[in-house]
Amino acid sequence: MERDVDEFERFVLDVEPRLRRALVARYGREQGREATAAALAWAWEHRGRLASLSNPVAYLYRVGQSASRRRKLRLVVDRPSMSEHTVEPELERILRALPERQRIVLLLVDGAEWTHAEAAHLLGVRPSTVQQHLERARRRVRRELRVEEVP
Amino acid sequence: MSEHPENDLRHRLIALLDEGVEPVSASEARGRSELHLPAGPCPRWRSGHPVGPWRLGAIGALALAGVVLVGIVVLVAVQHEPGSNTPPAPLSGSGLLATSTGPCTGRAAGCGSPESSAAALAHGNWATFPRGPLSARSGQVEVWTGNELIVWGGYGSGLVPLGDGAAYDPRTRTWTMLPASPLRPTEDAAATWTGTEMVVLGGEAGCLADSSSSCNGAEPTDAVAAYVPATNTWHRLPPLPMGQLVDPSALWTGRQLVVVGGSVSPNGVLSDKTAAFDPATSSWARLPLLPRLTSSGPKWRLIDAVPAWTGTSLDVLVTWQRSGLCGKGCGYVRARSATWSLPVGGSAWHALPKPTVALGGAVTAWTGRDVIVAGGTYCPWSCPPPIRFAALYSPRTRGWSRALGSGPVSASPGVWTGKAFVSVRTSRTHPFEGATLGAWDAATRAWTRLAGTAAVLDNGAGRPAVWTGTELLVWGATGMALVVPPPT
Repeated sequence: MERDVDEFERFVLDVEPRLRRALVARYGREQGREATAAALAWAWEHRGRLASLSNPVAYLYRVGQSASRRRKLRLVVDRPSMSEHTVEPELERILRALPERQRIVLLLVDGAEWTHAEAAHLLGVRPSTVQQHLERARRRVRRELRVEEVP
Repeated sequence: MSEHPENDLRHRLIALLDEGVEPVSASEARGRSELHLPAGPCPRWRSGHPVGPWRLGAIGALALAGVVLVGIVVLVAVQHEPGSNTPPAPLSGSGLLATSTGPCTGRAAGCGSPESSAAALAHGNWATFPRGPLSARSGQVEVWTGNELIVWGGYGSGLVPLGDGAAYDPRTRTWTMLPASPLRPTEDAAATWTGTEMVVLGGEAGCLADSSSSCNGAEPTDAVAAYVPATNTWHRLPPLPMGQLVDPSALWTGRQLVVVGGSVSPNGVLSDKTAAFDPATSSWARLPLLPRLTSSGPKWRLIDAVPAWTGTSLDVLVTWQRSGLCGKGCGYVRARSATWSLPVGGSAWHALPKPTVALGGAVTAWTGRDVIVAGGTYCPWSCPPPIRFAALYSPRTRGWSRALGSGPVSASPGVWTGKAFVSVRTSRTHPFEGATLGAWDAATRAWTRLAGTAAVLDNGAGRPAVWTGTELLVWGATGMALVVPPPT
C-alpha cells in the first residue's frame, strides 16, 4: 500500500499540472479543478491500470470531461476581472480572437504542456496538424503581443 | 538577455491557467476516492449515496455506525428541509395538463411494436447505413418522427457549435439536409418530438459579433424553435421563461413540453425552475420551483434533475451536492438525493420514497406500470461504485424495487422501445472501452445482453439514437442499425 501511495504521488506530480491546466482552460477555474480532482480520484481507484495507459493524461482528461457532465471543449479561459493582473492583461483578448482550432492547440501544448502526440490523440488529428495550428497561433499571438523574434 | 519568445508565451499561458487555481494533490485525490470516517472539523467523504454495504464490511463496525448515524441525519434533513422554505411559484397559464397514460405516451410511432421486446432485439442483426452529409459531431439533438431520424446542431472537430441538420429515412436509406434554422449554431440543446414538429430549446449558441466579452466561443441561450417536417420549415417559439439553460431535460407529455434542470452557470449549478409549453396556446407556464436543500455551511448545489412522465404526474429525481477543500490538502464531496412528484393540476411538489440508485446522469422511462431508472452516477466510476442494476418506482405501491441483471453500470444514454429499455453497459474498469448494449424487458423484468454491440460501439458508431419500430439506429462516426426481424 505504501508503495502504491508513493507511486501515485509521483504519477500525480507528473500528470496533474498538465491535466489541470487543460481542464481549467476548458471549464474555467472552479469546474476545471473539480474535474481534475475527480479524474485523479478515478486514477487512484484504478492505479493498477495506469501503467498500461498509452496516454494517461488524455485518458484522464476524458474521465474529467465525463465527471463534469459537460461535453464541450471550450478552451478559452473564463478569467474573472481582477484589479491587479498577475498575467498579461491583453492575453485573454488575443486568445479570444484566435481561430478555435489554433486557440485549442495553443492552450493544450503551450498552456497545459501537452505533447503534440497527446493533443493530436485528444483532437483526433495528426501531430503534424497540431504543429501547423500551433505555429500559426504562436505567430499571431506574438504579433499581437508585440513580442520580438530572436534573431 | 531576452527569453525566447516561444518560452515567454508559454510562461504567460501557464500563468494564465494557473492563476488562482490550487493544484490537486495526490492525497486529495485519494481522499475523494475512499470512504473515511468523519474526523475533526473537516470530515472527508466520498459521494454520499448509495454507500453500498459491499465496502462497509472492510472498514468495520465503527465506520458502519458512523455512516448509519449520518444516514439518519441525512434522511431527516431530506425529508424536512427541501421545499419547506420555498413556496411554490404560482401557476400561470395552463400549468401541468393531463393526458393519456401508457408506455408510448408522447413517443413517435414505432414505440411498442412487436419487434421492440428485449427477446426480439436479441435476434437483431447489425447493418451499416449511410452516415449522411453531416460531419461527425457530439452534443447534437436527435429525434425520431415516426418516419425519419432528425439530427441537428452539436459540435464537431472544429469544437465550435454547428447549425446544420439532416433527416435520415430508413425506408429509402437517404439523408436530406434541413433548411437553415432560425437558431444560432447550438450544442447541448434539448429536443423533443411533439407528433408534428421537433422542438429545440436551450443549449450553448455560438457567440454573436456583439456578444459580451464573457462569451467563450459559445454562450447559454434561451432560444426555442421548431422544425416541421411536413412543410420542411422552421419557426421560432417564445423563449424559455426561466432564461438561458445549457443541457436542459425536455420531455413531451402528449400534450405539453416540460423543461427541467439545465445549467445556468459555468460551474454546473442547475436551474431549480421548471416550465411547461403548450403548443395549443403557444405559451409557457411556469411550474413550481424544484425543492431546495438548505443547511448551515457550504451551499448545496442542485447538480442533477432527471424527469419522468407517468401520465398523471411529473416525477423528478433530484441530486444535490456540495464539495470543497479542507485546507490541508484534503477534499470532500457530499451528495443527497430525493424524488419529487408534481401531479397534474398540482401546485406543490410531493416527496416520494427515497430512491435506491444513484441518480446523476440516470435515464428514465415510463413502462405503463413503473418508472424505470437506469444507470447514473454523479461521480463516475469511483464514488459510488458503478451501479449494476436499474431500479423501478411504482406509483401504485409508492415503493422502489431493483431490476437485477446485467444492466447499465454507468451514466449513459438510453432508448425506450415501448417494451424494453436499451442502454449502454460499460466496464467497471474501462470507462471508454468494451461497452455493450443491454435491453431490460418490462414484461419479463429481465436484462438481455445484445450480441455484437461491443464492436459497434468500439468502432465509434456513437450512441443509441432512436428506435424506429423495427431498427435501433446508432449514429456517430458511422451509422449502424440493429435490424430486428418480426417475431415468429
